[in-house]
Amino acid sequence: MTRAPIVAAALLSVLHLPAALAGREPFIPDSNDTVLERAAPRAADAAALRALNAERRRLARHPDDLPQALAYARKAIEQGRAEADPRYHGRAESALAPWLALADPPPAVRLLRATLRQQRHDFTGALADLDALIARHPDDQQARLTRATVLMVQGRPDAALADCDALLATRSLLLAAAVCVTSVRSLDGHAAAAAQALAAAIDESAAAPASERIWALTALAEMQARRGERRRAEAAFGDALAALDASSGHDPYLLTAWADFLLANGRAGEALAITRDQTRIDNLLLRHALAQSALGDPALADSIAQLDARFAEAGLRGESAVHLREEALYRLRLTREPARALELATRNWQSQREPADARLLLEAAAAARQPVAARPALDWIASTGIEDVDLRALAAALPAVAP
Amino acid sequence: MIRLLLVIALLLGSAGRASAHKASDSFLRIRIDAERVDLRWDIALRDLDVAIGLDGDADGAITWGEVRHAEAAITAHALSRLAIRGDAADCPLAAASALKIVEHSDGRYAVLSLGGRCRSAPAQLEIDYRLLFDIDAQHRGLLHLAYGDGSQTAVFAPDRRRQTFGSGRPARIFRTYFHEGIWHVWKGADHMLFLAGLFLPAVLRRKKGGWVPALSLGAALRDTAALVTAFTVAHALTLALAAGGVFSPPSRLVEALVAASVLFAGLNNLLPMVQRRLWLLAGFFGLIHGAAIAGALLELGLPAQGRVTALLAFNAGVELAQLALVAVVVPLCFAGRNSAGFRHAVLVPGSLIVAIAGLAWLLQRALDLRIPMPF
Repeated sequence: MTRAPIVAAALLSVLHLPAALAGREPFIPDSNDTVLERAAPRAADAAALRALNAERRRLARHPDDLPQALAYARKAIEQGRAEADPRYHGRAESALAPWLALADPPPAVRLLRATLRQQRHDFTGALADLDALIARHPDDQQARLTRATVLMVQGRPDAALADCDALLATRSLLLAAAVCVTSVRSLDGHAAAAAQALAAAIDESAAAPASERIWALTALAEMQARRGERRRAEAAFGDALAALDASSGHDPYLLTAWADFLLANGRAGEALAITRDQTRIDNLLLRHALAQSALGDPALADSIAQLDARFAEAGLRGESAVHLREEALYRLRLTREPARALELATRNWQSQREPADARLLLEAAAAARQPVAARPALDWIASTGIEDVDLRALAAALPAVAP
Repeated sequence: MIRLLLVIALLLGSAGRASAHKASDSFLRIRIDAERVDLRWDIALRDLDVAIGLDGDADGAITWGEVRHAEAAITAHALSRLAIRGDAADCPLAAASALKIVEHSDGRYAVLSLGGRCRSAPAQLEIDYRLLFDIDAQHRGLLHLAYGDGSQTAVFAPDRRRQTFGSGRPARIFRTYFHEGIWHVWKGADHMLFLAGLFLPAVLRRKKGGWVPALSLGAALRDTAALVTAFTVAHALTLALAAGGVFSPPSRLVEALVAASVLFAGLNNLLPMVQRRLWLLAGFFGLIHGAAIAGALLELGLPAQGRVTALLAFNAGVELAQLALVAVVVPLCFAGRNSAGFRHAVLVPGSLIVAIAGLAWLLQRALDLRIPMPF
């Protein structure tokens, strides 16, 4: 009897893998002028990409030139953030390879290694690097800020606060420090004061770089949305989007947060419009599909097929952990497989514990009719004292679904 | 500067949360059919653009014309980043048909159709994949391999560039390793000379200044059988232990001891040193020769599946080759044992040659001297 599952699994993998690997049928395009691919999403990025490629070729001639490797890696990581594309993180990793393997790499490399580990969701590894950096240089602002971010992603606002305080004490980066402190305080029962303080800090930082202001405004918008302050949230999103337009930059994180806000407030039509040209990014393709689903758009089937292929191909790499949150949301809302969604949301909760992860776990537990599975998120809500109207409503409704 | 770095760090914070884009993959499908290799390799146009530059007019758009123009460069680049070996012998690859395009979940890919041939139907396949690792450490090669009795999958990464696969067919593994075992003995001049030298005394012994011939072929074969058995058992033991990874003797020492055994076998025929319990000596030298042959087997590599089959087959091949040699040498020597011409023209010079070759190898291997050798 024990053979049956093994045989079934083997059959499944044989049937499943070739399809995912094969993709669609190969073809020969009709014309030499057919555009097959964009090297970068926009012409302006193509120039940045070319410059980066040129820098890589220079670096290839002197692979042991640390300052040049660091400069290239920072640019690659920045581009990776702008396009939400891990290919660029991989390029940074390749450039730093000679130093990344060292047990005790130079501090600048170690900081980037922590960042790369965080990007691959190796939060424990990232924290080990950051702890070592901060132990040696307690006033390393970058390391402090990155560690606070990782700790918040892990749902440990109390631990993050010490780093935010240290940052604030330097008095050199007030807006960054303000975002750090208020993000923590908005999760531990001081949401109103935190939002007010952040809004004031943004008003006083008109001279700060656009990307920094956009980041602060997005954080503010999310805080207000959690508090149920829809109008204020929308105003902050509006300011952030206007600043983004003015700077002609990219910010996939802002777009995702804005799309989530629109979807949560019954504005799927707008969510559809803002995600239409962004489906190259998985997160935004997922929001696009959610909007299509809400609107009953027949193109939903196409989006689902694409998402399915992306999750399947990511699974082939053996690195599904990076996509747990997205896939849980996909199974919960689009393919409507509550049991699978709950399993993914539970695994996701092991590493990521932000409000969105808690919401996902509560919703999946409710949909799968397993309120007990929501226990870790409920405990987290109680222990942090987080003020989030959606989370509170979900938590309150949960026992009612018990069979 | 510090401000810029900090801003990057800030942004990275959110990047960690929004990192949702497929990383770079290539899709490699290989089918092994007897000695034929058929291969389809899907590589993202975006990755090829970074690696070799496709966007000729640098407008950010990659057209079919640009891809076709770069076809030779794409194929050459791909071929330089992939090697397939069947039983440690290269299976050279070449383009089998023109480049095509295919849609994957994150964009368009070039489809390369490659083909090649291995020396023979491989029992074990080694794939060495190096595409893009120097540019993008997060790149992965996703392999689907149809080989032998089923299909296998594997992921190539910077720390897993070279992987081996077995066909899983015991008969094919046995045939290949048996063949390699025979071949190894026939190619190994030191091994052959040692055996020839060792078995001479079975038919003719130097005793008190004269040669004493064996009384009967039966007695000669009995003596020989005892030697062969002792040698074979000892030899199989170290071969199995070393090939199984239980111990790894230093190869230079083992090679020097093999040379010493050849020298000893030759000298012992001319100036008898050991005459009684020759089988003990044969057993001792068997241990050394087994360790030496294990080195060759390890170089060839044992398949992941069917290690035991491969080990037995290789050993069986080695033993068969040795027995074939003994079966030729012993009766020939027996037939000529009473002829003085045979003794002076064959045995004495033959043993001398064996001894000199052994001495030369010993000096070469122990002292790292370069001595020109005819074999």
